[in-house]
Amino acid sequence: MEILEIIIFLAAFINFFLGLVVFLKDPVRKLNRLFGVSCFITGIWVFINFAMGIRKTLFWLKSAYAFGSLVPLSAALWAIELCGKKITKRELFLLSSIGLLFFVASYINNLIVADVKRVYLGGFEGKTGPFFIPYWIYILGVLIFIIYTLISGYLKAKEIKKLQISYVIVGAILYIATVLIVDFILPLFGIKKFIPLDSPSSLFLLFFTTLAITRYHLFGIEVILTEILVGAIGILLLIQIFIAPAFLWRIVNGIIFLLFCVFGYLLIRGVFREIRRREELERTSRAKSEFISITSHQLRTPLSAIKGYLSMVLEGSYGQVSDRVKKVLEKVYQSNERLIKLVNSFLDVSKIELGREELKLEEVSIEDLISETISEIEIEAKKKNLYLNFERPKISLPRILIDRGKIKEVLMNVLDNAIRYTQEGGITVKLKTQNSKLKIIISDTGEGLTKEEISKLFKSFSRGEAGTKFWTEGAGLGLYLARKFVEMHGGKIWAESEGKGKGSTFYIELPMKQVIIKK
Amino acid sequence: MKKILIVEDERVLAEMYKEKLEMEGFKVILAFDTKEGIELAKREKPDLILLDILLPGENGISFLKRKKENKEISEVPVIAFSNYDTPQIKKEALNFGVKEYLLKTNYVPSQIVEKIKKYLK
Repeated sequence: MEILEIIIFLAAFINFFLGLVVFLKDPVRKLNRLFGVSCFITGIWVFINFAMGIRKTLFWLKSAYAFGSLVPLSAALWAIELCGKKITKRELFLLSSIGLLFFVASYINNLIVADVKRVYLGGFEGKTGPFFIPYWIYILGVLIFIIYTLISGYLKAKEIKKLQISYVIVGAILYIATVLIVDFILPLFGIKKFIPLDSPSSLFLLFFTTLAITRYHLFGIEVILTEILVGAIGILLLIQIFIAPAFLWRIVNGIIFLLFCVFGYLLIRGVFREIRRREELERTSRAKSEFISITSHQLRTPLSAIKGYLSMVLEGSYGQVSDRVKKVLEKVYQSNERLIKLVNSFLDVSKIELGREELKLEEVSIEDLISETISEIEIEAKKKNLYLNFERPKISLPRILIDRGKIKEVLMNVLDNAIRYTQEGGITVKLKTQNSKLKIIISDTGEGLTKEEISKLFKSFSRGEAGTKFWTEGAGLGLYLARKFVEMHGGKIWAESEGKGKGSTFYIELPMKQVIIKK
Repeated sequence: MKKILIVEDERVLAEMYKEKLEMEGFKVILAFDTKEGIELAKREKPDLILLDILLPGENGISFLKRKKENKEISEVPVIAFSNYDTPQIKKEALNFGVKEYLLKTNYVPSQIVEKIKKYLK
């Protein structure tokens, strides 16, 4: 036997085998039954192709055409079911009768195949009958119908179903592409020896559909790639057994094949486990974010009440308050404000982690935004006798497209952080433009940062060493949020410091996207 | 005397805003859900509505929808104020023509009074 024949034989066998696996997995389900039937018919067709290579007779040639007419039909019925399309009994009857008509016509002399000179693996030489062109029109028509059904099904489907259909589409494209290459493109260059590969390439479709069907839960592409690789090497090793020149070699190849099967199985199982673990982790993380989101919203109601009533008391709505009491109440008010800010940060984090945060882009003058932010936070710097300077560029910068609220929060968080960790001296803000990128440079004369602190700075729930020593306020969310917001803009944020006691510099880099003004 | 309808299910907040607005010389009516809100709006014809978005049963968006369908109250200005501020909900409310969408924790009652006065002019 030649390698090509072995491949075709294996393809037929795999068709039968996978069809049976899918069918037995859930014999009651219509989708599985239709898939089983489709695999069975395809298996017969591939087997006939194999038989044609061994015994080049007219009977096998006719059978190849006959079963070839049923292959796309059975696939179409299955695709209709997969995409949840409804067809009437009449349409079903019509579709099936045309398929059966060509099935019968294939066996009648002269209708499709007229005068045969020579039958070979994959085709024949001779004259074609009057039904030959209609036969191919029918095949092409059904194939186009299948692709149309799959694509329209894909567009309508959601979540897992969408994934399943996309797998089938990938398989179908690989199958059709192989057929086009070996049956049409390569023969144009006089290469005909690969024509017999057309029927076994149905394995592509089969493989991807089996994955789509048998897995209630679809896994990432890495499993599929691992499986394809293991499967391909396995098949090659199996072929090696058959074509080995000596008996001893066959035994050696057989042992290698068996060992490979064991390790291949372990490898695939390992990848599966890894993915399950990752999925579990994602689920937990999502649940955590949902929990934070719900509790934070709940927390806002009592916080609003505290804020509202306190403000009214402080404004004197309930009568004059003594200065002593007022001072205390102001502290309560400030603490409440901090709680509100914290809850807002929690909500922002959960929104980002759940993918619910969106950018609201508008044209903003970054210089004005910095000035505005500084004027709001200046009071904090003054309390500590720190300077807070903004060195405006000599030439005013163009307005850029950003989410005003989010970039303001980034600036606020970085400045707040700088003020908090600076005990004397102050903070300077500068602007630079470079290669259509805008750099906001915020340097302070504060405590400075170690390399380790810098590496942790922008991560969720972490704080610099200095923070744990002197302060307990920041929950470490501010800079994490800043990073996320800057990244949403396609920018970068980082910190540099020459070490302890040498101050630190924060860089915010944003792409300078501008609105194109239509003239 | 200008009449304000507050649709707010959290009693402590409803009472608080009512108290503040009465101090400022407004007449205040309270509704605790959408259905009651629409009924009171039709009966009392307020000059402005302060609307919470997260309400039991039908939410504030559904209030806005029903208000729009009722010709007699469709023109009454609305300020939405909520502690729920997802971009979608905010967009929907603004599409229904609410004057502003305020986050409760960001405003003290006197600031809300300022907003109300601004839209009553």
